[in-house]
This record gives sequence, structure tokens and C-alpha cells, in this order.
Amino acid sequence: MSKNLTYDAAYKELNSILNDLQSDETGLDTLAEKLKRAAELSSFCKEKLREVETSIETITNDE
Amino acid sequence: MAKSYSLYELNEYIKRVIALNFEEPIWVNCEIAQIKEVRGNVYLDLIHHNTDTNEVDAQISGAIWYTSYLFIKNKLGTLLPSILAQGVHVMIKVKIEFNERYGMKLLIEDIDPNFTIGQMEMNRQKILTNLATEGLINLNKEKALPCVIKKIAVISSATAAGYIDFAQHLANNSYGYKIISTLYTVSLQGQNTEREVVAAMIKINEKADKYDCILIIRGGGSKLDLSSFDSYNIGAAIAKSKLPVLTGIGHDIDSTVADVVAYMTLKTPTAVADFVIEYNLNFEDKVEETMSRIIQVARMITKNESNLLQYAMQLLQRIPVEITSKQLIKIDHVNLNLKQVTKNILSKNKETLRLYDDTLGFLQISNTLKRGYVIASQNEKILTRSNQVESGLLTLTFYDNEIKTNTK
Repeated sequence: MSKNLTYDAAYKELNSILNDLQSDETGLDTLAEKLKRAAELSSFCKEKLREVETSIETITNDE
Repeated sequence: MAKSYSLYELNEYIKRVIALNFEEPIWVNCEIAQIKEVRGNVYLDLIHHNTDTNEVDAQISGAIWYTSYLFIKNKLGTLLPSILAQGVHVMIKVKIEFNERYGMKLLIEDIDPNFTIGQMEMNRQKILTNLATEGLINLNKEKALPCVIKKIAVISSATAAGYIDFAQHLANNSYGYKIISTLYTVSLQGQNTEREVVAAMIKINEKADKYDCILIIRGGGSKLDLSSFDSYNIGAAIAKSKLPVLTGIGHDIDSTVADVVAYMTLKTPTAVADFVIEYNLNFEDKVEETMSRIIQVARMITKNESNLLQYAMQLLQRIPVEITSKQLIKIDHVNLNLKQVTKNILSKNKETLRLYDDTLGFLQISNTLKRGYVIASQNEKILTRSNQVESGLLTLTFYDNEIKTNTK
């Protein structure tokens, strides 16, 4: 996964994969590949979210 | 030669004339030009200014002897230093005395403080009118305090009770705010106050970037004690100050000129300290409020993002299953079709082949028969060797017909 990937970019890509799948444009050949990418993006996004949540809790605890 | 007198005779005569004409003490209003106390007696220079030219147009020496001074001290109490001071307009009850050796002197027996208070009030009003005309009354109020007050320039006196209260109050604030205050010492009463306060204002304004505001602090005192702050120059200096000026001059009812033009005026030095602390507290509260709002919004955003992500992932998990199952159905369908079609084709071909076989077989035999060959058969069996022939009915098949014959 690229180091420069941002949450927004990852989320956007995830949605575009979803759109592709929903629009029936994806053939079975690329389905597995896209699913793998989606899983990567999803865990990246989740990780970022957790980071933010942790930092929110840190701020709250500092008070 | 004309008749002449000795100086003593002349002065004795003058003394008599005066004593005759001024039997009783009279009330006189004048300004104290100079005043000094020597061994319990007070010596003054009394003057009058011409109202048009403002030049001194009358002057006389005055004195308050020890006994009168005790009476006046007792009567005026705390007002005394404000009234018996250089530049103050006074209403005095005087006995006019002429001494042969020391000349004319006004012996002050009583002072009416109300006259001075009235004079000062008139003076104050005049100054305020002038400041208003010049647009200076609200000038300092247009200045702004920074979000937090950290560095203050204090105009006061290190020994003034009010300043000590203020400094302690500020240092011991229960929120632990560290406010750096720099004292500019001035005399808070008397003839030097105006000059020193204005000088301090100029000095502070020269390094205005080092301070957040200026505080003028003074302990309590009577109305006349504070009259030094009823000064045009102090008023103008406050009005034109680059920094907001807060006053805590300590008064009950009326405001001095300094208070009127200041950015903010508070009743006491302690109240000034409280204001500074509360001002900072208010900022801190706002910061905390904003921060907690930010945290709230941040939580909302992450929650929302998390939900969106979860939804997207659910869809992502479902859709591939749909796609693959759709594909499976398609494949099954194709398979089924394929089987059917194959079956059809096969059976069709089989039939054709069988027809071909029949036709081909027949065609080959009939051609042979046409050329003169005969098929001999017995009991529906084709005979290929002579020893196969048995007795009985023998069938001979020609191209065009069959003949049945008996064999022996």
C-alpha cells in the first residue's frame, strides 16, 4: 500500500470499486483482484479511523 | 523742604490705616502659587490670574500660624494635603496684617474646602468639554484588549496600599495565571502627579509592543485626593495611548477625567486585578468549550466515516457473491443448453447415419445383382459356400425378382 495514500483517496477508490461492481462492468477475471484491493483499502481506512479515534481519546484524557 | 517721615513712621501709619480698614477677617479666593511648612508654621505665596490674559495680576504673601494650622488640619482632615497644595484654588478667611518690618501678609485663619471642591469640579467639567471637542473621550475605548492579558504596564507607586493589594491579588490568583506586570512609579497625589503620569504614559507607549494594556492604579482617597487625575494632559495621554488603559483609581461616586477617557474603569485596584484574571479565565473557558466542540464533531465525523466504510464493505461482500452466483446460473444454463443441443445433434446425426447406412448397403448389393450376380439364401441366411446348401426351399434373389426353388 502506497505510503502517500490518504484516507479520502482510499475511501474514494473503495467506492469506485463498489460502483464498478454495482454497475456490472466488472468481469469475473478482475473481480478477485478488485476484492483484494477493496480489502486492503478497507483495512487502511479502518486503521486511519482508529488512529483518529485514539487521538480524540488522548485529547479527552488530557483534560 | 517738605515735611518728611521716617520709614518706621510711614509703615506705622500704613499699619494703622490697614488695621482701621480691616478690623475683621475677610474671605478671599485665590490660588496657592507656593507653599512651605517651617517649624509648624506654613508660608504661602497667593496669586490671582487675570481671566483674559492668564497672567498673574495680583500677588501677596500669606501665612498660617501654628495654632490656626492645627485648627485647619483638624477641620480638613484627609482633605488637607489636597487643598493646601501648589496650584490649588482656595477660599481662605484671612486677617490682613501689616508689619512695619515684614510688610503686608495675609494670616489665614480658616479654609472653606467646598469652594476648592467646586472649583475642581468646574475645572474637571472644563477639561472634559475640551477633550470631547477634540474627540478624545472615546478614543481609547476603541482600542482592543488581546485575547489574553499577559503583560501589563502598571502606573502606580510601589508603596501605595492599592498597588500592594493589586499585586498580591494578581500574583495569588487561584487559576495559576502568570501575568507579568511592570511598575512605572509615579507620585499619585500632588503637583508632580500630572507630569509623572504623562511621562510614564509616553515611556510605556514607546514600547507598546511589550505590553497588552496599561493599568493606572491608586488606593482609595477622597475626591480631592484624586483631583490630580482631573488633568487635561493625563486625559489626552490616556486617550491617545496605543494600548487600552484601565484605571483603578479608587473612588466612590464620581469619575476623574482619567476614568472618563480610559478604556475601562474599575472601582478599586483589587477590582482591576479581578478583571484581568476573569478576562483570562473567560478566554480559557472559551478555548475549552471550542475544544470540546471540536472533539464532539471529530467523533461524529469518525463515526460517520466508520458507518460509511462498514456499509461499503457490506456491499462489497454481497455484490461479488451476487456476481458469482449470477455467473454460475449463466454457466448452468449454458451447460444445460449445451447438453440438450449436443443430444439433439447426436440423435439427428445417428438417424442420418442410419439412413445413409441402409441406403448405402442397398445401393452396393443392387449394383452387383445388376451385373448378373444372384444371392442364394436359405432360411433367411445368405449362402456363401456350396456345402451350406441343405435340402428344402432355396431363395434366389435377382436384381429384379426373387425365385424360390426346391433343392434335393
